Amino acid sequence: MNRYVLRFTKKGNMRFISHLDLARLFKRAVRKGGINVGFSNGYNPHELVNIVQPLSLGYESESEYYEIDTIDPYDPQKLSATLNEAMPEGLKFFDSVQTERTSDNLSNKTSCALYEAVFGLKSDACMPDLTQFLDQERIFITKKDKKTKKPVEKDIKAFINELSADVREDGAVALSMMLRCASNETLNPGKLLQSMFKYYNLDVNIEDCRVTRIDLFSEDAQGRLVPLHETLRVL
Amino acid sequence: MTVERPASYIGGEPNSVLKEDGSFDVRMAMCFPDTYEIGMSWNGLSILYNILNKTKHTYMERVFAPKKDMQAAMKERGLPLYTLETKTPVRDADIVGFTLQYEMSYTNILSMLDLAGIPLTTAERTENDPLIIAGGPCAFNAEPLADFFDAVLVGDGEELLPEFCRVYAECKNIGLSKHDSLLRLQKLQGVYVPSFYEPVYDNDGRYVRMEKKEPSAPDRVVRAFLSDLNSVDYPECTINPLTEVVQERAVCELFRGCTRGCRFCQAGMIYRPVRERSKEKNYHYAVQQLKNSGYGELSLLSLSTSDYSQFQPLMTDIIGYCKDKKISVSLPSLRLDNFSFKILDEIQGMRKTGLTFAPEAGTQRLRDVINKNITESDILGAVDKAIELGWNSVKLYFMIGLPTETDEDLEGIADIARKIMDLARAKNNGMRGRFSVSVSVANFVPKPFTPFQWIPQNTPEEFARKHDLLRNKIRSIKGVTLHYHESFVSTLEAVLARGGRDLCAVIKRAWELGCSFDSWTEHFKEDAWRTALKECGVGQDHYTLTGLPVGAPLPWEIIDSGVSEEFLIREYNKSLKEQTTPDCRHNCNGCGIDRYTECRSKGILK
Repeated sequence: MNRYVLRFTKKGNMRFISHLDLARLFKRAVRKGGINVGFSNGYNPHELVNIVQPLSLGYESESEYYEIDTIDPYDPQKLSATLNEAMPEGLKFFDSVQTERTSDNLSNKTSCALYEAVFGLKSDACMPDLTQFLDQERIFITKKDKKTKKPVEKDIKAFINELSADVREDGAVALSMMLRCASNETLNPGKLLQSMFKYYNLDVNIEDCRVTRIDLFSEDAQGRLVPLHETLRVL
Repeated sequence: MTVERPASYIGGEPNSVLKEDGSFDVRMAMCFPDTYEIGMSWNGLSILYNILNKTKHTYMERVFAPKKDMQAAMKERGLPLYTLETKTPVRDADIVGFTLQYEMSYTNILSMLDLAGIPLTTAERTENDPLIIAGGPCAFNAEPLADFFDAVLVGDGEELLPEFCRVYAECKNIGLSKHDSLLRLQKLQGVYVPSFYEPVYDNDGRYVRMEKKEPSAPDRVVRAFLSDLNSVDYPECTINPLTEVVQERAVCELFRGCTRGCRFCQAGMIYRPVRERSKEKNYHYAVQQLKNSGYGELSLLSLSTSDYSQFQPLMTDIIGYCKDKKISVSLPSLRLDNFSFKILDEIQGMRKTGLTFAPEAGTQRLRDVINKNITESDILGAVDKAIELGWNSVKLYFMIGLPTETDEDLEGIADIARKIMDLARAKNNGMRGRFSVSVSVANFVPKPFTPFQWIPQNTPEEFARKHDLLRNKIRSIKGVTLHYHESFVSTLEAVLARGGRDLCAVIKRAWELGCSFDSWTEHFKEDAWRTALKECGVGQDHYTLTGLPVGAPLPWEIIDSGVSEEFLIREYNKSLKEQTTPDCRHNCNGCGIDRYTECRSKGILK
């Protein structure tokens, strides 16, 4: 069995494709491309593939990761080219490597995700300095409890690694957010934006924010954040 | 997100067609009056989309009914209904076509026209509006929608629709008015222009006859016949939805039509005669669709799959192709003879899904009435074998409210379920184990162009009583579950299926009262429909309770389905005498279809 890690971008209308729909689309592309993919053992064998961290519906991405185990060896570049033939506009594989096949997958190595959110402010509003917001003892968001479906408050201060704003020439604000994104604890950037807009009384509709995931990051031994693709042990 | 499942509104799916050079003459918006998830599973769309987009004159784009949240969002933003391919407003198309697959989708047609900003009725529309047309099985009786459509296409669409579009392109290019275009279009076999006729009703509101308003209109509209399935294209490449749809699989239609002659079955009458696609072509299309889609499932479609004359060799080839590629094969409408079992065992292997039987009625007497030629020993023999091969669930489909039905026939339904459970227990040392039986009963809806087109339907109250009776009988049998449908929906289906033009007002009123997505239990508004019927003064009883006397004028008689009325009457009379009619392959039963087209199946198994 061979393992490949393929990076891809998800842009434009493809931001409306959910994680599960994307997984299905990729599996069909694998089949269509005649790639001899590995299957799990068991009663219901499934393809040995993995989209590393789910991206919330509505967000674009510059760098997502797809892991695939194959029975036959392939030229990694050819593998992305084959999959690209079946991709609709807005989805594109662009960087692919063969890596060591471990029992672990990349989802477990991911600890953070970098997002950029771009939005406009009302003409009379200006973007405040974020220090005060970040200096709060606790930063609350509201989310639905998984079991009771009731809204609950949650302190997410520990999930924010970095948050900075940049006002661009056209007046739009570009917010850069390095947020916790691991299998057990993840912060959706939209939730943080809502919390921040509320704190500063900014009249911005969350649906008018264009959110892009820039990359996924892993923590190295010294605790530094390194883009996932730089941590891969390429064969 | 503001709306659920935004992926169903963006288009851009692999294998969808973009004709960007604008070199076509006619833009046709093909509308499915229900959600994307349902409409994208309709095989007819793949067939017509493929054929029309291969023509030079027409560009066919898809439109589905946006769900209620999307409709609200579109209205709020002033966004009109658009086509998925190019996002062109539907009102800017030349032709807007609706497929009529089931009665409970009718109100969605009005929602879609409204959302498109197109006036609902032919009378209100101007030369600037698109031509609004319809087709599909329910187009055989489109009277309840006649006010809304400029033309209705009846019969097989593979040749008729492209020809219709080609002629319309000519009309458009020489600047003919809609009326003059329709005069030309009605010359095509299968084209019905409702506004060229006016139904006459008596004082009791009963249909009397159709009066021609346009002298050149034909006395009766004969449906279109595709004489040979091999002569038209079938899709090698289907659109791959970006979001999950109901049926996500490659589909190959092996043949059209059915020789069994079940008397309740409209499909078995209106899709006559049987037309087979060659084994080579079927194999080719199945494999190409799988290759071009990446689907992991193939479905072989027809009304009675094991009746395909090349079934065995075809299945051998198909299983040979699919087996090691982990592609599963599904065979709806299979008769369980020995070979079918072998096939099922092979394709389902370790992962045996449920086994389905459709005895349709609980006693042999009633099965003879409906001409469903399957016996209890057929069923029990098949179940016996199935248990041996490792199946542990059986699904049974029945109908209630069939003509001449008594409570004894209903008890027969419970008896079959009980006998199957007993058999399972006997095979398993007296233990039930994991074995289960699911019994589904549908309320019988009499359909036009069938031998049961005249019969009265049970009232909702009578259906409810029968449901209770069945529930009580079945409750005591461990391992058997019962499923049934809402009764008033079935009443309405019968009203709309057999309705005349007086129902246009009812449908419009129901829609104004908020009815849409009526086939969705959570959206169905019984009270609104009752109000609409009452306000419009249409006695639903005309269409349900009393039935229609044999020989009386029928609201849909303007259409000639190809099957003669004499045949339908003969079958109706035989049914009352509990006499069966053989499969056409054993003996030609003289249905009259060969007056119009060649029937290749009569007597071939004699």
